[in-house]
Amino acid sequence: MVNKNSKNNPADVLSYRLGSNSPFLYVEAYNHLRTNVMFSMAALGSDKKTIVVSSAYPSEGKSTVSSNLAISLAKLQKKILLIDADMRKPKLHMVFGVNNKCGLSDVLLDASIESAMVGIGGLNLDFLPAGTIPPNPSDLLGSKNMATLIGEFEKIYDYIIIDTPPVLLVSDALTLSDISAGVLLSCRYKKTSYNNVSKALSAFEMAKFPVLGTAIVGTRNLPDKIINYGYNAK
Amino acid sequence: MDTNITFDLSIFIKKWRIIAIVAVVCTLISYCYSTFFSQPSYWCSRAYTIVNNMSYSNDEESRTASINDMNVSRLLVETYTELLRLEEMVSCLSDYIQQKYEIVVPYRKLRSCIRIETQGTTEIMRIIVTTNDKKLSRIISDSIDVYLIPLASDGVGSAEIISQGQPLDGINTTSTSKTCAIGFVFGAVFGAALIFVLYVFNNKVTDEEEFVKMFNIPVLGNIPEPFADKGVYKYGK
Repeated sequence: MVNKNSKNNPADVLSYRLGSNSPFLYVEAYNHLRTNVMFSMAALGSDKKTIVVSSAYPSEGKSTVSSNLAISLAKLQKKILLIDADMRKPKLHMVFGVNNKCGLSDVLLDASIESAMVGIGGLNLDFLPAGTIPPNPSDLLGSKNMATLIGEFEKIYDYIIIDTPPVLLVSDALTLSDISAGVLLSCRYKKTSYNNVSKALSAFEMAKFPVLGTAIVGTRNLPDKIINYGYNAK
Repeated sequence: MDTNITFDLSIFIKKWRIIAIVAVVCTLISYCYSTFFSQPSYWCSRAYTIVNNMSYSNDEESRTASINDMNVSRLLVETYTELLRLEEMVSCLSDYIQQKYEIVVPYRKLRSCIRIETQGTTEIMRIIVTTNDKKLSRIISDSIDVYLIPLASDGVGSAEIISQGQPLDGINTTSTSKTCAIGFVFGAVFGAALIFVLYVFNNKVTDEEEFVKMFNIPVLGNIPEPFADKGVYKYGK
């Protein structure tokens, strides 16, 4: 399932996708993230089931976190929906090997949901790709159609994860503040600067967007206790 | 969102390995330098007394030295010191050595190896020659005594330079333990400075605790690189 050196798939996110061959520590890290996210949402006391995943700037792991978090949640036998709301540079469809001809942007412009939604085999996971790149992604995401759509999805799914563009480049993520429980900020180890995190958090604060927490991606310090414990999920 | 980046001294304790490695490396470099590269230096020293002949009468019974005479002598010491440092004097010395001993000592080297010291406020002047060659140090010191001192004396009418006897010879060697100790201390300080600079200029996310302290939001997940543990994966199997 994990194809590290695929030449057919230029996006290296494929190699980071959680699968049955993923290393033990990698799987456990996402299980840990999953549990913390669930508790964090419960602590906020919101009845919304939607989590927005964003980052300060590109290449800080938000697409990897959103897709793997969705896969990890789906393993709990919960109905999960993953939405690629990055309509400017969509990438998640490459992670799951689906085409991006019809997706969220088309559904918001009155295409049928069934034509866009993709079921990921073997998991309780549905995926809605970004779709045709529109001229006004921010307007679409902040529209009433989007709020209605998410409202309908929340009746069906246990958790909805929305992957959004970087918050310091465009304001797309901020338009989802009213329809989601909170935002999970993705940071990359030794790449994301504290200044940028500060700016991103300020942007969320201005939009009154609750921050669930952060996920630091790409760390290299492996805890020895886990390595020596000998547990390995198969 | 306020960020409060403060410098925590415990960073030096956390990064003690870097400090230790840099200190050890500097110690090794110092040891190699003192053992293989540094060469001993040989010095030859001669002391001279400057006497103001005008202060003495020919009558030995009435010979006295007034305070004024002593002050004049001290000024003469300073005069001779400056005289011997003149470029023209050193150049003449270089030519003399070349003619007499057939050894070429460049002007710059000659100037750098001669040191003239005055002994406090006394009338005594000491000329010390230091080179890497014992024989050369002696030759230059002898040449100064035989040629340069009389040449300088001609320039100041009433004064006389009197040599204080045989020259003194010695050797300066670098102490290996002292050099290593200096290297170790320097390395430790340099390592600490390096950590300080890296810490101050490092504004990237590297530490979870620091992140939480700075922003007061929880770190919900610490995701490693997917292939980071491939070397230890076999432990789980």
